[in-house]
Amino acid sequence: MQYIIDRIEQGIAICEEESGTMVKLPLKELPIGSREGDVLFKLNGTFQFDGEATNRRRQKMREKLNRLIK
Amino acid sequence: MTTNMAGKKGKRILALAAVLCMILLTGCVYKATGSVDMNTAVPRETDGQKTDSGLAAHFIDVGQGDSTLIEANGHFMLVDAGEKDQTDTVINYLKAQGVKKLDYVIGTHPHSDHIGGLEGVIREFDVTTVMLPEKEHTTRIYEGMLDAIADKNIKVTIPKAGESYRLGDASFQIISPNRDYGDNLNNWSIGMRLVYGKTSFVLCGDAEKEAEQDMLLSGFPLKADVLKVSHHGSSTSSTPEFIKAVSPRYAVISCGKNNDYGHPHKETMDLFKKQGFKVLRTDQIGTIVIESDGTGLQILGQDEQQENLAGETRENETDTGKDYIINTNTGKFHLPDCKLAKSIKEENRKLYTGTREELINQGLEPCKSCNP
Repeated sequence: MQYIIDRIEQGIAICEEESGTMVKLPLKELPIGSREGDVLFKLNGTFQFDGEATNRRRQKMREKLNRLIK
Repeated sequence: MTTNMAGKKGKRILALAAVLCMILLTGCVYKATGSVDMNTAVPRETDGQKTDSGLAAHFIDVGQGDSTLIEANGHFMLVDAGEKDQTDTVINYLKAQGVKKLDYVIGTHPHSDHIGGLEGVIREFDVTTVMLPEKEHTTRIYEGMLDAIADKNIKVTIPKAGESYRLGDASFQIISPNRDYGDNLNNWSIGMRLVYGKTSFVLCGDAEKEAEQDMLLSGFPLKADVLKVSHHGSSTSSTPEFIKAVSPRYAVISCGKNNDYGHPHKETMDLFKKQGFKVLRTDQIGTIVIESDGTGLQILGQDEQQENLAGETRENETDTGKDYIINTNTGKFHLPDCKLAKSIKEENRKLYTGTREELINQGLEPCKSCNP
């Protein structure tokens, strides 16, 4: 299961599940240094940072945005 | 004719020189981008369809999130659309206001509590201009919004600080973002000062203290009658300096009832109270509509008394509430230690444990002396 951190507020990470459902996870349960936009996956009950997926999505979204800019 | 033309040309050169001088004097290179799209800066004709006069700002109750509809002389602008699960709330509200076309759709910054509903809104209505900050996000909600923009063949405008745009007889100046804020998405928020006649509104998404500091340094006018309080009243925004520069009569906070983040924060509310601003909160009074006729403001559906109620900071109020004394004769409620409560006749005196909000919902009035 993949999670994307939408935002971090008051020690809570508001994450988007693959289904689009928003879930609130305590920041302390996430990898240290987790940032908004990070893609995470759950393995054996713990959240892991997926650096490759994060970079891939960041680049894809940047390209999509750039194509739309006047 | 020729002299007239030459005169015009001369004026243009003078204007250009003045702009150049300003840039040199302020040393703010970003202002150079404020050369203003002249097409949008020129007042647009309304084709005589001025069925509706005046301006209305609708702070739509979308729970924990932001969504503001601005209506000026039959022209519409939507700033944010709450979480994705609020899409229908926003669409239905817009339809009820007679919206068919949105002149502007602004996604202040890519967090889901601001842009979540925009995919649906963009697909539902005709949209002329979409404005976004030049900062991407990785969520599917963000991608869905970009896909909707692409599907409708709309181009994205990245507004630059200093630029001005028209909405009916109103105009708005972009006051933020003033620079690259890296990965702080809140600070990327598109901020604007909307002016209609002598009345003005400032809306800056979730801009935090760094962005507020840059707005102060920018020299743009910030004074406004209404401030849409940044970041749902979080203490990460609303620095005393920024608040003083805006000095609004009304501070509007868009936040959800009993939200998980404690918004609005006590520090922010204390600051507003100290400054004497009237606070209006969507979690307490639902959707807030402020109308302007160009000279004064009117809060729709709110009499002065209710406004004052909304303006009070409520501390220590929990889900279970606290003790109040109700005077069943006058319909007022008091704090247990209120002088006036002590004089209530026994038969009219009732102890109530709960929240202030529950009492107000029951049609009871807070005592003006103890201000429960």
